[in-house]
Amino acid sequence: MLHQSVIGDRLESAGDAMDEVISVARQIVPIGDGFAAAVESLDIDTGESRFDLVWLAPDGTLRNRPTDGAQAHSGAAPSFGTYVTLPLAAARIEAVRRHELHLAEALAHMAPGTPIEVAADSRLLVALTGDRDAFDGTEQGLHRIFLRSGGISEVMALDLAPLELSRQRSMTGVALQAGWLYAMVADPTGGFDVFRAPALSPEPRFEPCLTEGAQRFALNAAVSAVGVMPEGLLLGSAALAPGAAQVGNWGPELLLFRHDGSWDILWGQPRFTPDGLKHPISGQLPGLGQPGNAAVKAIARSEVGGTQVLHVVLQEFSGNSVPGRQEAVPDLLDYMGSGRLLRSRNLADWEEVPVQWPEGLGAITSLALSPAGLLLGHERAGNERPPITLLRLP
Amino acid sequence: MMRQPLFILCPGRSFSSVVCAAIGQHPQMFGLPEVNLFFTDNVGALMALDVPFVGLPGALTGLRRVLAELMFGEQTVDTVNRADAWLRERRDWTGARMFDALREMASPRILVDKTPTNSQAKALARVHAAYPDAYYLHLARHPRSTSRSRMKAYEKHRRGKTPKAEALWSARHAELMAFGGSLRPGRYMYLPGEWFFEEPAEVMAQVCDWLGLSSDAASLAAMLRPEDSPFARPGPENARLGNNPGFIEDPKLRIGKVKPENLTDPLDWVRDREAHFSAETRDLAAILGYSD
Repeated sequence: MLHQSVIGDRLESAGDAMDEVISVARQIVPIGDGFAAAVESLDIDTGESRFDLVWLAPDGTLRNRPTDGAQAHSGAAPSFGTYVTLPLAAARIEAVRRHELHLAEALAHMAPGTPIEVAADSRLLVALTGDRDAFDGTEQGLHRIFLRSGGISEVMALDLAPLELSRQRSMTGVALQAGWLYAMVADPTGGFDVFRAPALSPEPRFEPCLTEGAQRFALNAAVSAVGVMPEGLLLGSAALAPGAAQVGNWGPELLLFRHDGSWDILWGQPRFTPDGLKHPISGQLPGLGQPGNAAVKAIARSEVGGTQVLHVVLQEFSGNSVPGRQEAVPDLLDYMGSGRLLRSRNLADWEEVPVQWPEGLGAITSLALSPAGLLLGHERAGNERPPITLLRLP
Repeated sequence: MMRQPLFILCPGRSFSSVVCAAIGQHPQMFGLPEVNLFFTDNVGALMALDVPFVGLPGALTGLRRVLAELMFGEQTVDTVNRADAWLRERRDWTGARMFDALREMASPRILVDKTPTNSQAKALARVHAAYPDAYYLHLARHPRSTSRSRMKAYEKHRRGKTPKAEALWSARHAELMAFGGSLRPGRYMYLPGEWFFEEPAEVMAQVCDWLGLSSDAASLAAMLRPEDSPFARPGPENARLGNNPGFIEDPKLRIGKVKPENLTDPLDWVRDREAHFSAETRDLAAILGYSD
């Protein structure tokens, strides 16, 4: 769900020419020879929003969707989850979000092993694997994650007490990888915490595995983007608004958290930590030369000709910068300023890729590499076409 | 070629004396007392400040003790006087030139300077101009305990204007963060001082890694004995202090969790009204790892 503050910003900035609907591409996932994208549309007058799955050709143009109820397999998902369900599941999720359907009923209609995921800040997120499903429903302050192993009676709610969720501390993402269920919790004053639970355990319990913004504290207030690597998770950070000072050691970081519990800074601030002295593997400081208030907004991992390619999008903060972190509510959509595209093939060497960013970009929310270029999901006023733009790569 | 020095930067009352002495006890390092060499344009100007009641009384004491120690191997009334005479013949030297002389005398050991005045903007500009490739350790302490300690020290001596303790803490750390952001990778590190007391061996091992020092057991053990520093005890009667008086009084390392503080209670050193930390201070504190 889009935050009211974002709506307010739009009303103020758009004036009379304001569109009545704002749409956001929450997720772009490769499906067969094309892509599926989850798009949220917000009606500014009523405050109501809805989800749609749209189907895209590699160049980002719309294509017909497959038959309802069919399932499509994706060999290499760019983010957590390996499969994507179809509008049937999306509709069920939507119904749950609107309180029209009980969660258990929705899960009952989802075939086991058919996951769907919608970006975390939509306040609705599902990540499923072949034999165990996870569900995080966040609505009006309610934060839940459910797991099931098949039958509807086996649905269990995970104890989220260790996450210490509150108005300020909210989940910005979950990921399911290598048998671990990860939950990323934003905290504008203490720095993000990452928790994980053994997803296949009979009684999975969350334990912290990376705390206090990886010892960068409030400058790593949130994990704003997650990418799945074979060896672990890529965690992109944001300092979160509002922050009065935006110089010095500001700028987002990119971390690699391995499933064995070790971690490294790919680019970011060298520092002392309980896990030893950390130097950035790339030798690059936060924000790769631009230490302003920006966020890692999207990560896309692809394999091209047997070589791994990572694309990472940064976006600058564009809200008001005022003191008062204690009152801040995490809102990654405040990062809707200038974008930067970075690329790496080995995690150590990074290059900035010049691209033509679309007009009226809004907040960047998702990214996927296609044969034609990069499909960039973002916010856009209006819903006449999906908020997805093809960035042609040089 | 001499190795680059280490400068510990922080507002006063931030554990810098004990941290400097601990690092300085590494066999490859030499921890200085407060030498104030970058506070003025040259040594003569610093001498002019070392007068009672006005200026910076005792500004030269630390430097005189260091010279006595390095030139004559001991700190006595006589060696301090001889060091003083040597110093007075070099009034026109800049602080950097004098600091280089100390580096040569201490070589092959690497100097650690924790002089609090180095963290002031003008002095820091002089330090950085002279040593752009030095190592810089930004040290912090919770704003409440720092401010309380500063006010306690003020109330003991009642010299000068009442310090604006909170504002000093915020301004200094904001400047140091900005400074750190201007340095090339690997030259700036940040350390919440409380970590040092909780896990001194772990922290010192990482400091060794950072500075490229040996982290063998004997070296680390030496670092946990700051009281062995030649400046951890009173000097001769003509140079008694030159370092933090509280540290000289009780230089032993007290390992353990530092008493927890918070950002929300009223400021206990403001007695004529109820006052709290500003939003700016709390934001900066959160960035430096003090969110409670």
